[in-house]
Amino acid sequence: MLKKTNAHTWTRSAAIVFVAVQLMLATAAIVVAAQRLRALDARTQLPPVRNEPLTVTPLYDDPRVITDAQLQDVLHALRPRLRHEQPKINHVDHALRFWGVEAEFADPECLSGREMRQLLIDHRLFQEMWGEDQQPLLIAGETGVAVRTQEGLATASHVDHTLATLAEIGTTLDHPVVTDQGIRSLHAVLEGSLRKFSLNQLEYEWSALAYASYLPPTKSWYTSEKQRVTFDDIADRIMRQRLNQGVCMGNHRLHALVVLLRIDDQSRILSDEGRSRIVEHLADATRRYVASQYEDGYWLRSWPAAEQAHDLVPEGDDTLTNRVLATGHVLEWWALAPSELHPPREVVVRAGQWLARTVTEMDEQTLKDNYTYLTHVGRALALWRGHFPHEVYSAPDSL
Amino acid sequence: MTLAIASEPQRDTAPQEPTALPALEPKLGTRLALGWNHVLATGFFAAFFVYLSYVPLFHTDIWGHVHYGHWILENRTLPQEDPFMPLTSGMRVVDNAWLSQVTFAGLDRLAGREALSVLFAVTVLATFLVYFRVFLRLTRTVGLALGACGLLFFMSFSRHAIIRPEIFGGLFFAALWWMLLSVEPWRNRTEREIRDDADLNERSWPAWLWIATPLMFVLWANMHGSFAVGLVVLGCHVAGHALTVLWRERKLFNLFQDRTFRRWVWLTELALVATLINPYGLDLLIETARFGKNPNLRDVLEWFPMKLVDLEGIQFSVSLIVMMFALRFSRLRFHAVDALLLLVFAVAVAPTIRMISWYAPVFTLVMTPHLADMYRRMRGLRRGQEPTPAQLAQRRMEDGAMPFAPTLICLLIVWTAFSFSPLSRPVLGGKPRSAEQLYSHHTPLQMTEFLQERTPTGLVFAPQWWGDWVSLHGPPELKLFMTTNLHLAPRQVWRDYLRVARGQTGWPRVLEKYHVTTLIVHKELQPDLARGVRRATDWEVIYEDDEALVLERKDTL
Repeated sequence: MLKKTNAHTWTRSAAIVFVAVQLMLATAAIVVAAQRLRALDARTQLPPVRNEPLTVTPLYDDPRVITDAQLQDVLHALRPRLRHEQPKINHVDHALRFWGVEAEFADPECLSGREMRQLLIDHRLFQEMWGEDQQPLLIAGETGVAVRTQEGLATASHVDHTLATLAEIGTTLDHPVVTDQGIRSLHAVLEGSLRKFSLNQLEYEWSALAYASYLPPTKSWYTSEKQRVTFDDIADRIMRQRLNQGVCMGNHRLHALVVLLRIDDQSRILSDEGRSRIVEHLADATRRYVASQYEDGYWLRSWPAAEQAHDLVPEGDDTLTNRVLATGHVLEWWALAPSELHPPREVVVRAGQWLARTVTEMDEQTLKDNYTYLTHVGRALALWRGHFPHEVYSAPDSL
Repeated sequence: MTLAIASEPQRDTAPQEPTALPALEPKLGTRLALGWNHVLATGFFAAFFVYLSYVPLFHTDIWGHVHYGHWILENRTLPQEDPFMPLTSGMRVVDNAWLSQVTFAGLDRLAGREALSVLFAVTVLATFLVYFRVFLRLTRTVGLALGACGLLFFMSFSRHAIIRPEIFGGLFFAALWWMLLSVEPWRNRTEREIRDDADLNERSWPAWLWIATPLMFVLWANMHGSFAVGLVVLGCHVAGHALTVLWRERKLFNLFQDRTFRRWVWLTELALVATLINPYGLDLLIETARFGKNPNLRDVLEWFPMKLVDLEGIQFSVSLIVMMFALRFSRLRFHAVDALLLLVFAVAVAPTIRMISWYAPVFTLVMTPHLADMYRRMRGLRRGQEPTPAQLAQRRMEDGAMPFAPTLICLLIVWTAFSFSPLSRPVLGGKPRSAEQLYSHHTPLQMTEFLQERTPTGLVFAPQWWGDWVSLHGPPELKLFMTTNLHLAPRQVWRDYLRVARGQTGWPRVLEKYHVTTLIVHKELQPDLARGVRRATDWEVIYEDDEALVLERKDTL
């Protein structure tokens, strides 16, 4: 009996010790596993961002590219006469980028910079101008705010175009954004973009601009696909495809690369090798542009073919729109690029003078039909005079 | 006085029969005296080995593993990212098969591709030999054990012929069962036998089990991700035994007092801790657990859900029918552990057909004792009735036959198998197999030679099942869109790959997006893409054979 009691006591003690040890082990295992999971998941959290975006300012002032008078004429022709029902959102965000939030106009048909920005980030004003039946431009969700894109005239034209525009004109992330679900901030729009971003999404040029503006000094982060991305990777992605592929004959990619270089000057976001690759790529693009410029000063889609460009123009491709598009865009990114990436100055002068003549000769309808491309023209010409458009434009006395 | 002459002993005058010589006692132990049933088993495994020796090396992921192994040996570190797919840059690699990859690459360097083939044959044979041993212990009959091996082969047929790190996982899985059998005395016993054996649960576990199990799991965790399946087996033992005790005792605290339950818990925990001994630590377990949830795998055949009309579905259906008969007619107890094992592994197969590799041995192991019992009842046999080899040897001696004849025949069979297999060539000489014999017929041998001569610049798009081969055997600077490591590809990249690989609308735009300059098409398995590229005006065919089409982008500007 005693032996049985002793055995029973021993078994009971062993069980108690066992349970105690198991509880300790289980607790330790859960704590360690939870910590590790948290650390792994933290990698895919949003990176730290800066409230005030880094911006890129003009570097050059050359009146040979465009004179003061010519610039005033061009800017006047391209003033944002968007105060009407249902202004195309595409026009609004291009115009905002062109003129900046500080722009004011005496012309009652024009929206001011603030009004243009308000239209993009305040659902109430959007609804006022587009009607209550129109789907909202801003889509509020749990993972941020998205801008409706490529769904018609009341939507943005490119992925993250609106966000990049707001970044380029210096909008802070704490700036309120009014959606139909309530008030958020621009930070929510950036958050929505980051959460959806994939390095291999179809359009990424404006995402690159926005991230270069708001992320530094952060240099790398994890996408929703759990891919670690750096600005070097974004630059390599931009440079991966053929030169004239991508929106606006590939020029937005080149522009994005220039902005990366300029931001890198302010806050190191590129590695030395990455920067070298970008400079080499842009230098090559410049060389091709120089070799393919038409005598009058414009370019066409075939610009990457350099010396053979004029022989490779597809039928129907030599249109005024394409000439303006190619010429305005390249002048714009050259205006922001380091001088070592410039062509001979006479190339720029020829292009600037051709644009000045062409824009001032356009009729109203042509201006309207090509407005988005022309915003790049206007901005480029102002930048070549060392200023943003709103800094130099003064309306004629008649207005 | 007449002297008596001592006379010689008297002899019969009639001729006599010569006296029989006494029987010679064998010097060899009778344990070496095999029976004719062993001849049958030897013949089966010898033929199996020869068959395995001539299974061609498959054209898919083995080459990715060999390539990784070479990379690891050259760089003396594990890759942080995939070294061969630039589009996966920034995606973390947790290489749970690194030791297998080093083994493959090391063998490839030392002894060439034939050595890989031999390794495959030896490993798979060893696996089945271990299972044979397990089945023999369960049934105590060579014929039944062979039958169980046949059932196992049938159940795992669809996955047996591919060399990959999984073959090591299979061997470890078999070894685990062999080890666990020593502490599963209930597995082939009737209810009465279990009841009558009072010491059944009190016998101590052998010391070697506590050492061998964690050691094996350390190796396993570094060779293949299937170590998780081994942990599941142990976990089922814990849970199954807990259910048994709780059912009996009806008190939770009594469960903790049960010594066997505590042992199972300790053994499982020991194995789990052992798996942490790897270059990634806890991350290996986390990533292994998460692996199956990778959305890219949903498009891969072996990760598809099971369909009853497919081969795996048929195998599974047969197993269900066999199970029903066993439940009805077997006298043996159906332990809670076995019920859990079957449930867990059956549930695992349903959404992912590749789990049939693990379901098959679990099913066979659980069912073998029951099937053996049913067989004996049908034949009117009793368990343990089969004579031992020693008894058979004795009978042969009494019958005047050679007691070791079957043993000698077994040796002859083994020798014959050896000499017919490529393994014998270093010893016996002979021509190595040609590339067409060594590699599976889908291996793009000639196309790869072409790529060596005309090195592509830029990104190369090839079907992912050829990606590993092309990456390893093509020019060193070749960069591929996709290999079988598709789980590393960002989701967008994988979706784009599928669009092109299936020749879906928009494939040219995708190739442009990635600036693919060379396109490789499998004509038979990618007919839509093959048709599309022939019509495309900006792609030029630069190579074609019976299987492959290689095209180059015309305008690279």
